[in-house]
Amino acid sequence: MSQLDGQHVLEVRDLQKSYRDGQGRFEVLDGLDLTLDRGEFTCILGRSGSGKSTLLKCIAGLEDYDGGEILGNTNEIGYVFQEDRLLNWKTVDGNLRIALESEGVPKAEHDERIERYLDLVDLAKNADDYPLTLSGGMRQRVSIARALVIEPEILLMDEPFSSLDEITARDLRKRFLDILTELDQSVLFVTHNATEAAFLAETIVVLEHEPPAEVKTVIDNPLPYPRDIDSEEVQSLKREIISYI
Amino acid sequence: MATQGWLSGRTGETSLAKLRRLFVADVFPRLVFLLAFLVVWHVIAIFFSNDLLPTPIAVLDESIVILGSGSFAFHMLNTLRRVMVAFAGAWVVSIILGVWMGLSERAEKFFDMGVVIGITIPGLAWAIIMVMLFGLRPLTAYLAVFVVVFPMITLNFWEGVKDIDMQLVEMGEVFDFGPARTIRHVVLPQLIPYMLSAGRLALGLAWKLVVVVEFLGFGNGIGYQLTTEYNLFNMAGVLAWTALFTVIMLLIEYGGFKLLERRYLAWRPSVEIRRRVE
Repeated sequence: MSQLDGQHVLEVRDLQKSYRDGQGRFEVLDGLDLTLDRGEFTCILGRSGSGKSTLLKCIAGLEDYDGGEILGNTNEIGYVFQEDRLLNWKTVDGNLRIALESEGVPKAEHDERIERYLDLVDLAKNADDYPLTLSGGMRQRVSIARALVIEPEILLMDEPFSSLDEITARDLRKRFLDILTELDQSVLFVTHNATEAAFLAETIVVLEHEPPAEVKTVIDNPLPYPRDIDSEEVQSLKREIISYI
Repeated sequence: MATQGWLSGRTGETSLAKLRRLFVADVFPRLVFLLAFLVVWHVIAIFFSNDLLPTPIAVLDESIVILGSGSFAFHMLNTLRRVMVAFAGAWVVSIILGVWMGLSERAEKFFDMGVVIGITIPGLAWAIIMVMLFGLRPLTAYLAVFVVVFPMITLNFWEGVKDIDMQLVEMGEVFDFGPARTIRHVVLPQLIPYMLSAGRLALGLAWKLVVVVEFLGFGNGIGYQLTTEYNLFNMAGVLAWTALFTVIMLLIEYGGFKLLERRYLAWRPSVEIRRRVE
Protein backbone atom coordinates (compact mmCIF):
# COMPACT_ATOMS: atom_id res chain seq x y z
CA MET A 1 0.00 0.00 0.00
CA SER A 2 2.98 2.28 0.25
CA GLN A 3 4.60 2.48 -3.16
CA LEU A 4 1.98 4.83 -4.47
CA ASP A 5 3.38 8.05 -5.83
CA GLY A 6 1.75 11.26 -4.58
CA GLN A 7 -0.24 11.93 -7.68
CA HIS A 8 -2.13 8.63 -7.66
CA VAL A 9 -4.78 7.60 -5.16
CA LEU A 10 -5.22 4.17 -6.68
CA GLU A 11 -3.12 1.85 -8.74
CA VAL A 12 -4.26 -1.52 -10.03
CA ARG A 13 -1.44 -3.67 -11.37
CA ASP A 14 -1.80 -6.87 -13.35
CA LEU A 15 -5.07 -7.79 -11.60
CA GLN A 16 -6.29 -11.34 -12.14
CA LYS A 17 -9.53 -12.91 -11.14
CA SER A 18 -11.36 -16.01 -12.26
CA TYR A 19 -14.47 -17.89 -11.25
CA ARG A 20 -15.06 -21.58 -11.30
CA ASP A 21 -18.01 -22.62 -13.39
CA GLY A 22 -19.38 -25.85 -14.82
CA GLN A 23 -16.78 -26.14 -17.57
CA GLY A 24 -13.78 -25.14 -15.50
CA ARG A 25 -12.26 -21.75 -14.78
CA PHE A 26 -13.69 -18.60 -16.24
CA GLU A 27 -11.30 -15.64 -16.48
CA VAL A 28 -12.93 -12.31 -15.65
CA LEU A 29 -9.85 -10.16 -15.18
CA ASP A 30 -6.58 -11.14 -16.78
CA GLY A 31 -3.76 -8.75 -16.03
CA LEU A 32 -5.69 -5.49 -15.82
CA ASP A 33 -3.77 -2.23 -15.16
CA LEU A 34 -5.35 1.03 -14.09
CA THR A 35 -4.43 4.22 -12.26
CA LEU A 36 -6.56 6.92 -10.73
CA ASP A 37 -5.12 10.38 -10.07
CA ARG A 38 -6.08 12.50 -7.08
CA GLY A 39 -9.24 14.47 -7.89
CA GLU A 40 -9.65 12.71 -11.22
CA PHE A 41 -12.93 11.38 -12.60
CA THR A 42 -12.36 8.15 -14.51
CA CYS A 43 -15.05 6.14 -16.25
CA ILE A 44 -14.62 2.47 -16.99
CA LEU A 45 -16.74 1.64 -19.95
CA GLY A 46 -17.61 -1.82 -21.11
CA ARG A 47 -20.47 -4.03 -22.09
CA SER A 48 -22.46 -6.00 -19.53
CA GLY A 49 -20.46 -8.96 -18.33
CA SER A 50 -17.11 -7.44 -19.32
CA GLY A 51 -15.85 -7.68 -15.74
CA LYS A 52 -16.10 -4.02 -14.77
CA SER A 53 -18.24 -4.59 -11.69
CA THR A 54 -15.90 -7.34 -10.57
CA LEU A 55 -13.04 -4.87 -10.77
CA LEU A 56 -14.85 -2.46 -8.44
CA LYS A 57 -15.67 -5.26 -6.02
CA CYS A 58 -12.03 -6.32 -5.90
CA ILE A 59 -10.95 -2.74 -5.19
CA ALA A 60 -13.58 -2.41 -2.44
CA GLY A 61 -12.49 -5.69 -0.86
CA LEU A 62 -15.84 -7.37 -1.52
CA GLU A 63 -14.14 -10.04 -3.59
CA ASP A 64 -10.75 -11.67 -3.38
CA TYR A 65 -8.54 -11.63 -6.44
CA ASP A 66 -6.15 -14.30 -7.66
CA GLY A 67 -3.14 -12.23 -8.65
CA GLY A 68 -1.71 -8.76 -9.11
CA GLU A 69 -1.97 -5.92 -6.64
CA ILE A 70 -4.18 -3.02 -5.69
CA LEU A 71 -2.33 -0.06 -4.19
CA GLY A 72 -4.05 2.80 -2.41
CA ASN A 73 -5.98 3.53 0.71
CA THR A 74 -8.74 1.05 0.03
CA ASN A 75 -10.05 1.34 3.60
CA GLU A 76 -11.38 4.76 2.80
CA ILE A 77 -13.81 3.96 0.07
CA GLY A 78 -17.24 5.32 -0.61
CA TYR A 79 -19.43 3.10 -2.77
CA VAL A 80 -22.57 3.87 -4.73
CA PHE A 81 -24.30 0.77 -6.02
CA GLN A 82 -26.60 0.37 -8.97
CA GLU A 83 -29.47 0.01 -6.47
CA ASP A 84 -29.77 2.51 -3.64
CA ARG A 85 -29.23 -0.18 -0.97
CA LEU A 86 -30.63 1.97 1.82
CA LEU A 87 -31.83 0.57 5.13
CA ASN A 88 -35.54 1.20 4.76
CA TRP A 89 -36.14 0.99 8.51
CA LYS A 90 -33.82 3.91 9.17
CA THR A 91 -34.50 7.50 8.30
CA VAL A 92 -32.36 9.30 5.73
CA ASP A 93 -30.40 10.79 8.64
CA GLY A 94 -30.05 7.32 10.20
CA ASN A 95 -28.69 5.85 6.97
CA LEU A 96 -25.92 8.45 6.84
CA ARG A 97 -25.23 8.28 10.58
CA ILE A 98 -24.65 4.53 10.62
CA ALA A 99 -22.02 4.94 7.87
CA LEU A 100 -20.29 7.66 9.89
CA GLU A 101 -20.35 5.54 13.07
CA SER A 102 -19.00 2.50 11.28
CA GLU A 103 -16.19 4.42 9.65
CA GLY A 104 -15.18 5.80 13.06
CA VAL A 105 -15.83 9.45 12.32
CA PRO A 106 -15.89 11.36 15.67
CA LYS A 107 -19.43 11.79 16.97
CA ALA A 108 -19.06 15.55 17.30
CA GLU A 109 -18.79 15.86 13.53
CA HIS A 110 -21.84 13.75 12.63
CA ASP A 111 -24.57 16.39 12.68
CA GLU A 112 -22.57 18.93 10.77
CA ARG A 113 -21.50 16.44 8.09
CA ILE A 114 -24.97 14.97 7.61
CA GLU A 115 -26.40 18.44 7.23
CA ARG A 116 -23.73 19.45 4.77
CA TYR A 117 -23.98 16.43 2.47
CA LEU A 118 -27.77 16.23 2.53
CA ASP A 119 -27.76 19.87 1.58
CA LEU A 120 -25.36 19.08 -1.24
CA VAL A 121 -27.73 16.49 -2.73
CA ASP A 122 -30.62 18.85 -2.03
CA LEU A 123 -32.35 16.64 0.52
CA ALA A 124 -31.84 18.69 3.69
CA LYS A 125 -35.59 18.78 4.22
CA ASN A 126 -35.91 15.00 4.04
CA ALA A 127 -33.54 14.05 6.86
CA ASP A 128 -36.34 12.56 8.98
CA ASP A 129 -38.10 10.74 6.15
CA TYR A 130 -37.98 7.00 5.64
CA PRO A 131 -36.53 5.90 2.28
CA LEU A 132 -39.70 4.19 1.07
CA THR A 133 -41.53 7.50 1.19
CA LEU A 134 -39.05 8.97 -1.32
CA SER A 135 -38.89 8.60 -5.09
CA GLY A 136 -36.23 6.43 -6.78
CA GLY A 137 -34.13 9.43 -7.76
CA MET A 138 -34.25 10.84 -4.24
CA ARG A 139 -33.23 7.50 -2.77
CA GLN A 140 -30.24 7.31 -5.09
CA ARG A 141 -29.26 10.80 -3.99
CA VAL A 142 -29.37 9.62 -0.37
CA SER A 143 -27.09 6.77 -1.34
CA ILE A 144 -24.68 9.23 -3.00
CA ALA A 145 -24.77 11.37 0.17
CA ARG A 146 -24.03 8.25 2.24
CA ALA A 147 -20.94 7.55 0.15
CA LEU A 148 -19.75 11.16 0.30
CA VAL A 149 -20.48 11.81 3.98
CA ILE A 150 -17.59 9.63 5.09
CA GLU A 151 -15.35 11.84 2.92
CA PRO A 152 -13.71 8.90 1.20
CA GLU A 153 -10.39 9.02 -0.53
CA ILE A 154 -11.87 7.15 -3.48
CA LEU A 155 -15.47 7.08 -4.61
CA LEU A 156 -16.49 3.93 -6.47
CA MET A 157 -19.70 4.00 -8.46
CA ASP A 158 -21.23 0.99 -10.14
CA GLU A 159 -23.73 2.16 -12.79
CA PRO A 160 -25.51 4.31 -10.21
CA PHE A 161 -27.93 5.92 -12.65
CA SER A 162 -28.79 2.93 -14.80
CA SER A 163 -31.81 1.79 -12.81
CA LEU A 164 -33.47 5.21 -13.00
CA ASP A 165 -35.65 6.54 -15.76
CA GLU A 166 -33.77 8.66 -18.30
CA ILE A 167 -35.19 12.04 -17.23
CA THR A 168 -34.32 11.46 -13.59
CA ALA A 169 -30.92 10.04 -14.56
CA ARG A 170 -30.13 13.11 -16.67
CA ASP A 171 -31.02 15.45 -13.85
CA LEU A 172 -29.03 13.42 -11.36
CA ARG A 173 -25.90 13.27 -13.56
CA LYS A 174 -25.89 17.02 -13.84
CA ARG A 175 -26.36 17.60 -10.11
CA PHE A 176 -23.74 14.99 -9.35
CA LEU A 177 -21.19 16.63 -11.60
CA ASP A 178 -21.80 19.99 -9.90
CA ILE A 179 -21.23 18.38 -6.50
CA LEU A 180 -18.04 16.66 -7.59
CA THR A 181 -16.45 19.74 -9.06
CA GLU A 182 -17.12 21.39 -5.70
CA LEU A 183 -15.53 18.55 -3.72
CA ASP A 184 -12.55 17.66 -5.94
CA GLN A 185 -13.30 14.00 -5.30
CA SER A 186 -11.42 11.11 -6.96
CA VAL A 187 -14.01 8.93 -8.69
CA LEU A 188 -13.94 5.59 -10.43
CA PHE A 189 -17.23 5.22 -12.25
CA VAL A 190 -18.36 2.09 -14.05
CA THR A 191 -20.88 2.35 -16.87
CA HIS A 192 -22.01 0.81 -20.13
CA ASN A 193 -23.45 4.12 -21.32
CA ALA A 194 -21.15 5.99 -23.74
CA THR A 195 -23.01 9.30 -23.45
CA GLU A 196 -22.78 9.15 -19.68
CA ALA A 197 -19.04 8.53 -19.89
CA ALA A 198 -18.50 11.35 -22.40
CA PHE A 199 -20.50 13.75 -20.25
CA LEU A 200 -19.00 12.90 -16.84
CA ALA A 201 -15.43 11.72 -17.11
CA GLU A 202 -12.02 13.24 -17.63
CA THR A 203 -10.56 9.89 -18.54
CA ILE A 204 -12.46 7.06 -20.19
CA VAL A 205 -11.07 3.55 -20.00
CA VAL A 206 -12.72 1.36 -22.62
CA LEU A 207 -12.60 -2.37 -21.91
CA GLU A 208 -12.61 -5.21 -24.43
CA HIS A 209 -16.14 -6.46 -24.97
CA GLU A 210 -15.42 -10.08 -24.24
CA PRO A 211 -14.06 -11.11 -20.87
CA PRO A 212 -11.43 -11.34 -19.54
CA ALA A 213 -11.38 -7.58 -19.07
CA GLU A 214 -8.48 -5.87 -20.75
CA VAL A 215 -8.04 -2.21 -21.49
CA LYS A 216 -8.80 -1.62 -25.15
CA THR A 217 -8.07 2.09 -25.18
CA VAL A 218 -7.88 5.11 -22.90
CA ILE A 219 -9.54 8.31 -24.08
CA ASP A 220 -8.83 11.70 -22.51
CA ASN A 221 -11.71 14.10 -22.29
CA PRO A 222 -10.34 17.63 -21.87
CA LEU A 223 -13.74 19.39 -22.12
CA PRO A 224 -14.02 21.87 -19.25
CA TYR A 225 -16.78 21.59 -16.64
CA PRO A 226 -19.66 22.45 -16.58
CA ARG A 227 -20.59 20.48 -19.66
CA ASP A 228 -23.73 20.23 -21.71
CA ILE A 229 -24.80 16.67 -22.45
CA ASP A 230 -26.43 17.72 -25.74
CA SER A 231 -23.43 19.72 -26.98
CA GLU A 232 -21.68 18.69 -30.20
CA GLU A 233 -18.40 18.02 -28.33
CA VAL A 234 -19.97 15.53 -25.91
CA GLN A 235 -21.93 13.85 -28.68
CA SER A 236 -18.91 13.49 -31.00
CA LEU A 237 -16.89 12.05 -28.10
CA LYS A 238 -19.71 9.61 -27.53
CA ARG A 239 -19.44 8.51 -31.20
CA GLU A 240 -15.72 8.05 -30.81
CA ILE A 241 -16.24 5.89 -27.71
CA ILE A 242 -18.87 3.80 -29.44
CA SER A 243 -16.49 3.12 -32.32
CA TYR A 244 -14.34 1.16 -29.84
CA ILE A 245 -17.09 -1.00 -28.39
CA MET B 1 -37.00 8.17 15.99
CA ALA B 2 -38.27 4.74 15.07
CA THR B 3 -41.63 5.31 16.73
CA GLN B 4 -42.27 8.36 14.68
CA GLY B 5 -44.87 8.21 12.03
CA TRP B 6 -47.87 6.21 13.02
CA LEU B 7 -49.43 8.64 15.48
CA SER B 8 -47.73 11.77 14.35
CA GLY B 9 -50.41 12.33 11.76
CA ARG B 10 -50.41 15.17 9.36
CA THR B 11 -48.72 18.39 10.22
CA GLY B 12 -50.93 21.08 11.67
CA GLU B 13 -53.71 18.67 12.60
CA THR B 14 -55.26 19.16 16.05
CA SER B 15 -55.35 16.17 18.36
CA LEU B 16 -59.13 16.10 18.28
CA ALA B 17 -59.19 15.98 14.49
CA LYS B 18 -56.54 13.27 14.62
CA LEU B 19 -58.63 11.19 17.02
CA ARG B 20 -61.66 11.63 14.82
CA ARG B 21 -59.71 10.57 11.72
CA LEU B 22 -58.35 7.51 13.54
CA PHE B 23 -61.86 6.62 14.70
CA VAL B 24 -63.36 6.91 11.23
CA ALA B 25 -60.49 5.10 9.51
CA ASP B 26 -59.65 2.42 12.05
CA VAL B 27 -62.35 1.83 14.63
CA PHE B 28 -65.58 2.48 12.77
CA PRO B 29 -65.39 -0.32 10.14
CA ARG B 30 -64.61 -2.82 12.87
CA LEU B 31 -67.50 -1.66 15.01
CA VAL B 32 -69.84 -2.03 12.06
CA PHE B 33 -68.67 -5.59 11.55
CA LEU B 34 -69.17 -6.44 15.23
CA LEU B 35 -72.64 -4.98 15.25
CA ALA B 36 -73.65 -6.78 12.04
CA PHE B 37 -72.34 -10.05 13.49
CA LEU B 38 -74.40 -9.63 16.67
CA VAL B 39 -77.53 -8.75 14.71
CA VAL B 40 -77.23 -11.82 12.47
CA TRP B 41 -76.62 -13.99 15.51
CA HIS B 42 -79.66 -12.52 17.25
CA VAL B 43 -81.92 -13.09 14.24
CA ILE B 44 -80.77 -16.70 13.82
CA ALA B 45 -81.22 -17.36 17.55
CA ILE B 46 -84.77 -16.06 17.61
CA PHE B 47 -86.17 -17.28 14.30
CA PHE B 48 -84.19 -20.28 13.11
CA SER B 49 -82.73 -22.25 15.99
CA ASN B 50 -85.74 -23.77 17.81
CA ASP B 51 -84.44 -22.20 21.02
CA LEU B 52 -81.18 -24.18 20.81
CA LEU B 53 -79.00 -21.14 20.20
CA PRO B 54 -79.17 -18.50 22.93
CA THR B 55 -79.29 -14.84 21.93
CA PRO B 56 -76.22 -12.58 22.37
CA ILE B 57 -77.98 -10.98 25.33
CA ALA B 58 -78.45 -14.32 27.07
CA VAL B 59 -74.77 -15.08 26.51
CA LEU B 60 -73.85 -11.67 27.89
CA ASP B 61 -75.92 -12.38 31.01
CA GLU B 62 -74.20 -15.73 31.43
CA SER B 63 -70.80 -14.07 30.96
CA ILE B 64 -71.58 -11.57 33.68
CA VAL B 65 -72.49 -14.43 36.02
CA ILE B 66 -69.22 -16.20 35.19
CA LEU B 67 -67.20 -13.02 35.70
CA GLY B 68 -69.00 -12.38 39.01
CA SER B 69 -68.42 -15.92 40.32
CA GLY B 70 -64.67 -15.43 40.61
CA SER B 71 -63.90 -18.69 38.80
CA PHE B 72 -63.13 -16.90 35.55
CA ALA B 73 -59.78 -15.52 36.65
CA PHE B 74 -58.70 -18.90 38.04
CA HIS B 75 -59.48 -20.87 34.88
CA MET B 76 -58.31 -18.17 32.53
CA LEU B 77 -54.96 -17.84 34.28
CA ASN B 78 -54.41 -21.59 34.13
CA THR B 79 -55.09 -21.63 30.40
CA LEU B 80 -53.01 -18.50 29.92
CA ARG B 81 -50.04 -20.03 31.73
CA ARG B 82 -50.16 -23.16 29.56
CA VAL B 83 -50.34 -21.09 26.42
CA MET B 84 -47.58 -18.68 27.34
CA VAL B 85 -45.04 -21.23 28.56
CA ALA B 86 -45.46 -23.42 25.49
CA PHE B 87 -45.56 -20.45 23.16
CA ALA B 88 -42.39 -18.88 24.54
CA GLY B 89 -40.54 -22.20 24.36
CA ALA B 90 -41.65 -22.86 20.80
CA TRP B 91 -40.77 -19.33 19.72
CA VAL B 92 -37.21 -19.48 21.05
CA VAL B 93 -36.50 -22.94 19.65
CA SER B 94 -38.04 -21.95 16.30
CA ILE B 95 -35.87 -18.87 15.95
CA ILE B 96 -32.74 -20.92 16.50
CA LEU B 97 -33.80 -23.76 14.21
CA GLY B 98 -35.31 -21.49 11.55
CA VAL B 99 -32.23 -19.30 11.36
CA TRP B 100 -30.00 -22.34 11.25
CA MET B 101 -32.06 -23.86 8.42
CA GLY B 102 -32.00 -20.56 6.56
CA LEU B 103 -28.24 -20.27 6.78
CA SER B 104 -27.09 -23.85 6.31
CA GLU B 105 -28.09 -25.97 3.40
CA ARG B 106 -27.19 -29.11 5.31
CA ALA B 107 -29.46 -28.17 8.23
CA GLU B 108 -32.21 -27.31 5.78
CA LYS B 109 -32.04 -30.69 4.11
CA PHE B 110 -31.86 -32.50 7.43
CA PHE B 111 -34.78 -30.77 9.13
CA ASP B 112 -37.17 -29.81 6.36
CA MET B 113 -38.98 -33.14 6.26
CA GLY B 114 -39.44 -33.01 10.02
CA VAL B 115 -40.97 -29.58 9.74
CA VAL B 116 -43.36 -30.68 7.02
CA ILE B 117 -44.39 -33.77 8.98
CA GLY B 118 -44.87 -31.61 12.07
CA ILE B 119 -47.20 -29.31 10.20
CA THR B 120 -49.19 -32.17 8.73
CA ILE B 121 -50.00 -34.10 11.93
CA PRO B 122 -53.34 -32.86 13.31
CA GLY B 123 -53.26 -30.97 16.60
CA LEU B 124 -55.91 -33.25 18.08
CA ALA B 125 -53.71 -36.28 17.37
CA TRP B 126 -50.81 -34.67 19.22
CA ALA B 127 -53.08 -33.77 22.12
CA ILE B 128 -54.33 -37.36 22.45
CA ILE B 129 -50.83 -38.81 22.06
CA MET B 130 -49.41 -36.51 24.72
CA VAL B 131 -52.22 -37.20 27.20
CA MET B 132 -51.79 -40.94 26.67
CA LEU B 133 -48.01 -40.70 27.05
CA PHE B 134 -47.72 -38.36 29.99
CA GLY B 135 -51.12 -38.36 31.67
CA LEU B 136 -52.81 -35.24 32.96
CA ARG B 137 -49.76 -33.29 34.04
CA PRO B 138 -48.82 -29.69 33.30
CA LEU B 139 -46.02 -30.99 31.10
CA THR B 140 -48.55 -32.68 28.81
CA ALA B 141 -50.21 -29.41 27.86
CA TYR B 142 -46.88 -27.70 27.33
CA LEU B 143 -45.54 -30.48 25.14
CA ALA B 144 -48.68 -30.84 23.06
CA VAL B 145 -48.76 -27.13 22.28
CA PHE B 146 -45.04 -27.01 21.70
CA VAL B 147 -44.97 -29.76 19.08
CA VAL B 148 -47.90 -28.30 17.18
CA VAL B 149 -46.74 -24.70 17.21
CA PHE B 150 -43.06 -25.03 16.71
CA PRO B 151 -42.89 -26.48 13.15
CA MET B 152 -45.28 -23.78 11.98
CA ILE B 153 -43.15 -20.90 13.24
CA THR B 154 -39.89 -22.58 12.29
CA LEU B 155 -41.16 -22.56 8.72
CA ASN B 156 -41.81 -18.85 9.03
CA PHE B 157 -38.33 -17.96 10.31
CA TRP B 158 -36.70 -20.24 7.79
CA GLU B 159 -38.42 -18.36 4.97
CA GLY B 160 -37.50 -15.07 6.63
CA VAL B 161 -33.80 -15.84 6.76
CA LYS B 162 -33.82 -16.99 3.15
CA ASP B 163 -35.38 -13.69 2.17
CA ILE B 164 -32.66 -11.56 3.77
CA ASP B 165 -31.35 -9.09 1.25
CA MET B 166 -27.68 -10.02 0.80
CA GLN B 167 -27.08 -6.83 -1.17
CA LEU B 168 -27.64 -4.89 2.05
CA VAL B 169 -25.21 -7.14 3.88
CA GLU B 170 -22.68 -6.38 1.13
CA MET B 171 -23.34 -2.66 1.55
CA GLY B 172 -22.61 -3.06 5.26
CA GLU B 173 -19.33 -4.69 4.37
CA VAL B 174 -18.27 -1.79 2.13
CA PHE B 175 -19.08 0.72 4.87
CA ASP B 176 -17.27 -1.35 7.54
CA PHE B 177 -20.36 -2.14 9.65
CA GLY B 178 -18.75 -5.18 11.26
CA PRO B 179 -20.69 -8.27 12.44
CA ALA B 180 -22.49 -6.75 15.46
CA ARG B 181 -23.81 -3.73 13.60
CA THR B 182 -24.73 -5.88 10.59
CA ILE B 183 -26.81 -8.26 12.70
CA ARG B 184 -28.49 -5.49 14.69
CA HIS B 185 -29.15 -2.95 11.95
CA VAL B 186 -29.25 -5.00 8.75
CA VAL B 187 -30.35 -8.57 9.49
CA LEU B 188 -32.71 -8.32 12.49
CA PRO B 189 -34.90 -5.53 11.09
CA GLN B 190 -35.53 -7.73 8.07
CA LEU B 191 -36.67 -10.58 10.32
CA ILE B 192 -39.04 -8.54 12.49
CA PRO B 193 -42.05 -8.86 10.16
CA TYR B 194 -41.54 -12.63 10.17
CA MET B 195 -41.18 -12.69 13.95
CA LEU B 196 -44.43 -10.81 14.38
CA SER B 197 -46.42 -12.91 11.95
CA ALA B 198 -44.96 -16.09 13.42
CA GLY B 199 -45.81 -14.91 16.92
CA ARG B 200 -49.37 -14.16 15.94
CA LEU B 201 -49.83 -17.47 14.18
CA ALA B 202 -48.26 -19.39 17.06
CA LEU B 203 -50.35 -17.71 19.72
CA GLY B 204 -53.57 -18.40 17.81
CA LEU B 205 -52.62 -22.05 17.37
CA ALA B 206 -51.50 -22.40 20.97
CA TRP B 207 -54.80 -21.12 22.33
CA LYS B 208 -56.82 -23.50 20.24
CA LEU B 209 -54.74 -26.48 21.18
CA VAL B 210 -54.58 -25.79 24.90
CA VAL B 211 -58.36 -25.79 25.04
CA VAL B 212 -58.44 -29.17 23.29
CA VAL B 213 -55.92 -30.62 25.73
CA GLU B 214 -57.88 -29.28 28.67
CA PHE B 215 -61.07 -30.67 27.17
CA LEU B 216 -59.47 -34.13 27.24
CA GLY B 217 -59.49 -34.17 31.01
CA PHE B 218 -57.71 -31.39 32.83
CA GLY B 219 -59.32 -30.25 36.08
CA ASN B 220 -59.17 -26.56 35.30
CA GLY B 221 -58.85 -24.07 32.46
CA ILE B 222 -61.18 -22.81 29.78
CA GLY B 223 -61.31 -26.22 28.08
CA TYR B 224 -62.38 -27.85 31.35
CA GLN B 225 -65.16 -25.30 31.75
CA LEU B 226 -66.31 -26.00 28.21
CA THR B 227 -66.53 -29.73 29.07
CA THR B 228 -68.52 -28.96 32.19
CA GLU B 229 -71.01 -26.76 30.36
CA TYR B 230 -71.24 -29.34 27.57
CA ASN B 231 -72.08 -32.07 30.07
CA LEU B 232 -74.84 -29.86 31.49
CA PHE B 233 -75.95 -29.14 27.94
CA ASN B 234 -75.76 -25.43 28.76
CA MET B 235 -75.25 -23.78 25.40
CA ALA B 236 -75.23 -20.27 26.89
CA GLY B 237 -72.40 -21.35 29.18
CA VAL B 238 -70.36 -22.82 26.31
CA LEU B 239 -70.80 -19.63 24.29
CA ALA B 240 -70.09 -17.38 27.28
CA TRP B 241 -66.76 -19.09 28.03
CA THR B 242 -65.87 -19.02 24.35
CA ALA B 243 -66.77 -15.34 24.09
CA LEU B 244 -64.78 -14.35 27.18
CA PHE B 245 -61.83 -16.27 25.91
CA THR B 246 -62.12 -14.61 22.50
CA VAL B 247 -62.18 -11.18 24.10
CA ILE B 248 -58.89 -11.90 25.88
CA MET B 249 -57.41 -13.07 22.56
CA LEU B 250 -58.55 -9.92 20.82
CA LEU B 251 -57.00 -7.81 23.56
CA ILE B 252 -53.68 -9.57 23.01
CA GLU B 253 -53.98 -9.17 19.26
CA TYR B 254 -54.86 -5.49 19.26
CA GLY B 255 -53.08 -4.44 22.44
CA GLY B 256 -49.99 -6.52 21.80
CA PHE B 257 -49.22 -7.44 18.23
CA LYS B 258 -50.76 -4.45 16.53
CA LEU B 259 -48.82 -2.11 18.83
CA LEU B 260 -45.58 -4.01 18.26
CA GLU B 261 -46.21 -3.83 14.54
CA ARG B 262 -46.69 -0.07 14.69
CA ARG B 263 -43.62 0.32 16.84
CA TYR B 264 -41.30 -1.75 14.65
CA LEU B 265 -42.77 -1.42 11.19
CA ALA B 266 -43.39 2.32 11.22
CA TRP B 267 -41.02 2.69 8.29
CA ARG B 268 -43.41 0.91 5.95
CA PRO B 269 -45.30 3.72 4.32
CA SER B 270 -49.03 3.72 3.90
CA VAL B 271 -50.26 3.88 0.33
CA GLU B 272 -51.09 7.52 0.85
CA ILE B 273 -47.56 8.74 1.47
CA ARG B 274 -45.98 6.41 -1.03
CA ARG B 275 -47.61 8.38 -3.80
CA ARG B 276 -45.40 11.34 -3.08
CA VAL B 277 -43.13 12.23 -5.97
CA GLU B 278 -40.02 14.27 -6.35
